[in-house]
Amino acid sequence: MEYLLHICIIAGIYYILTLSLNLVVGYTGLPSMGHAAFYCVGAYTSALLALRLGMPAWIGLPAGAILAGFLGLIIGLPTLRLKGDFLAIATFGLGVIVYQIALNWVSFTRGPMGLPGIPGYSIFGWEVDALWAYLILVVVLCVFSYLIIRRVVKSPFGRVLRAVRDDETAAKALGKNTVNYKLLAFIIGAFFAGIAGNLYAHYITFIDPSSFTVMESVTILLMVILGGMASLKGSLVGAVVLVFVPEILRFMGLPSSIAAQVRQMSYGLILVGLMLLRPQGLFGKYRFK
Amino acid sequence: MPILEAQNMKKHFDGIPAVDGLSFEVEKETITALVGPNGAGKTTFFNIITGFLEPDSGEAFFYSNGSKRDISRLSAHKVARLGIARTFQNIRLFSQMTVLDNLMLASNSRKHENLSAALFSKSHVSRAERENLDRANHYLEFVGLTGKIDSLAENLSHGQRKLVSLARAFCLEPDLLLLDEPTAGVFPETREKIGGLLEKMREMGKTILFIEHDMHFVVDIADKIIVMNAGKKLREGKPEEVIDDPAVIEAYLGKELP
Repeated sequence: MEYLLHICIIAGIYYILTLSLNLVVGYTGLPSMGHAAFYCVGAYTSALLALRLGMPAWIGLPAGAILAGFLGLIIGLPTLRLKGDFLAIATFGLGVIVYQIALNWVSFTRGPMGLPGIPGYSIFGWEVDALWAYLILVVVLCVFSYLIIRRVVKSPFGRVLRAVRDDETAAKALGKNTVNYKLLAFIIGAFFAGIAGNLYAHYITFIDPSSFTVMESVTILLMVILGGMASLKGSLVGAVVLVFVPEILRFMGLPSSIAAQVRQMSYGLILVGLMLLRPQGLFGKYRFK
Repeated sequence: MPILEAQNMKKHFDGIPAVDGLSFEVEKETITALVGPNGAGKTTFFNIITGFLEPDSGEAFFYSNGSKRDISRLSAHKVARLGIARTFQNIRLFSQMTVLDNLMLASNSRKHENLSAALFSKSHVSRAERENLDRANHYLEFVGLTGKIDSLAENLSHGQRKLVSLARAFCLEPDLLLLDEPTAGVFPETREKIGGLLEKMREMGKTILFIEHDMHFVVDIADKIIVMNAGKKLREGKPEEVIDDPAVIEAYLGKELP
């Protein structure tokens, strides 16, 4: 039972990551390959605030999200003028840079030794240490993220995002300042990834750079694509499936030495099968062109 | 009274002139046709006027509400906001959105499309959206595609997409419409229909500048023709004066054998 709760918490954290990346990739059509960078900033900001300054997790939550959003602004300003493939490469570079900073700025992040002993959540003096309590916290933030992002994509603002995705030139000809819209989508996506980072850091209580590699960005992107671009329901399914599938593999009695490789391979197989059978993803409303 | 005035426009691509010292005026509430052989620089000129390209030199003035403004170096979205709408040779609908969404996006007011409006202001948004919906319905009926309102743009035929792209430009309720080959590749009946729509828009006080290759269509609806060749203005005048001009025929067909 504890194990199941643990998996649900992890799935919830990935749901927020997938939702936020879907806003960027699925709704706005910006191929972002560096989403883990914002996740990383959210996690490290909150962890360092807690460890160095004794700040509670619920202060680290907005702080990490805002800092991640700010990084989105800084990175987005120069890169969002790039088109398609170039933007993918630039955001890929962002993912590598943030990972390398976390790894090599030892005096600040403790580098590969990571940050152990991150305190858990406590709300009004009540320690959220039971798994079910933490799950409730995660679900509350999932629902919050879902409601905000849903509101964003269903609004006329979200309609402009989809217009930018379908044809940026035509959107400009209709008087839309497309760079602004792309930038805002990028910032909102980064903001919610920061929230996920906070939840992760204070749940696991230990973070190190290995949780925020480029492979992590690829996994989140895979969740978006599997569930379906521009589908909020799809993001839930994508995150849940890709968190649960490797866990099921665990019960198949594979020796631990090859389990990790099989996990990676299963991702690859899912992706190949998906592209052949249903390129728009399970619930997707938008296809790559 | 002019609405658009181009002065000595120049644009080179890697040293090759695309628009080479072009000057002309477009009169208010008229239909003007921009014709010329392929590669004459017509679309490049459109792209400069609408802010998608910056000219190497020259100015373009737009007259509205009694004021004169240089728009030659304004970015595309700002040009659109001044009341200049354009369509594209390759149509450029938002292909994975419905016809209605395509039209609702063409709105002169933009406050309801802000992020803050999405998050906080419900009543303002729904008021603006009602107006958008009315306008979208109106212009969809105008082009005769009411039945297609919920279709995805990519599922329409070529001619229908041309009509939707016109309706989308009309929805911006601009003073000046720049149409890049509005009838390219459509059936003769649709071409007639588009001609009728453009004449109605002129009656409503709009000004139209359009690129076209079909001379019969041009002669039928245009008040004035501007002929371009090799980035320059070759001739300008009433349709019947221009089309028999030997220089124009030469630009299109080459020299007659001696």
